[in-house]
Amino acid sequence: MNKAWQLPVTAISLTIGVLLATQFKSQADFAKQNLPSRRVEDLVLMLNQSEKQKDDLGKEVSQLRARLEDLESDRRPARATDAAAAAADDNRGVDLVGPGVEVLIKDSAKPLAKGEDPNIAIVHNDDLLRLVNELRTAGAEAIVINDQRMVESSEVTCAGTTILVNKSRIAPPFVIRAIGDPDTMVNALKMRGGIVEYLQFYGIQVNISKKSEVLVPAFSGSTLRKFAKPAPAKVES
Amino acid sequence: MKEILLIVGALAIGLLIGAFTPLSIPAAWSKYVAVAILAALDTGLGGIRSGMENRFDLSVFISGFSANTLLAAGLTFLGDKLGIDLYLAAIVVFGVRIFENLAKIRRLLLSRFWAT
Repeated sequence: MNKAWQLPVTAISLTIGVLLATQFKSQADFAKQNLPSRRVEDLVLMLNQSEKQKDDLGKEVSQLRARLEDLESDRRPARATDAAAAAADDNRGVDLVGPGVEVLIKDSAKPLAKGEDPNIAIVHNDDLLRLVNELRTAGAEAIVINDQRMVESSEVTCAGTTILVNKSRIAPPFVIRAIGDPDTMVNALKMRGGIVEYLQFYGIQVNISKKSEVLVPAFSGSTLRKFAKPAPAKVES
Repeated sequence: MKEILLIVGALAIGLLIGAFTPLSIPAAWSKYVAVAILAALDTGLGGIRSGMENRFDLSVFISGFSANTLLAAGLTFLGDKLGIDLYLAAIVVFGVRIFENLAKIRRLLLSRFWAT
């Protein structure tokens, strides 16, 4: 029998072996990197549970904070340093009221033309950021987006299809309430070439109304600082 | 029987080499490697079959392997560019040929050991 075929076939099977083992290894690596899609539902469930928990804890925080305030005011009424500290902290622990504006922002209602990018018709985190920035420029003293008070640690960030403020998801329609001089703030927003004109160009619906009384709720997140500490009172320079 | 041991042994050595060398295939290339594995399997089984039929020809063997692999890789590439999974065509053809070759080898083995 002719044995000429043995060597080439042996070489081929060696090649098959190397390729197979390498492919197995690589596929196993990919499987490790990619989250299996069926686990997405579990993750959503876990996320919802954690968010609910977070909301409950946030309520508890505001209750405890209110109690603490009661107790402190009983014990040491009107302590000057406390007042100063609270003012420096934007009064973030208390609900604030005052005259101001309410800005309602909704996604575009215009039907998209063919080939138009649907991204331009929705409200993005930078739109909200620019509005907040404009309000601050116009002298807003306290700002809240939906229920999230804007404090120094507040972020407005994009997380997939939702927007996060203070690490909490907020959903359209977005309502920004700001305490400050209503006329100045409205004028700043409606400035020619300003933010409202820009948003309306893309079909975003913006409704601004002046209010004689606007409620800005207390900041519900943690105020603990891990790194920042008050500097020594007197610094030689 | 000896030749079968030789082939299985080479396969095992290849698997060991592949498992213990730090070779890895980028995700974009895994389709090509899958097609190459099938081409090599098809060629190997075809080689065994023709050897058993006593009509093995080295030039046919080598040219068949290279031409099939190149054609399959080309189809895969074209499919990638066109957005169609054209490599499936190569996989189906190789799969059918593998089964055909296996069937022939089975018959040859049967006729050798249980000569009627």
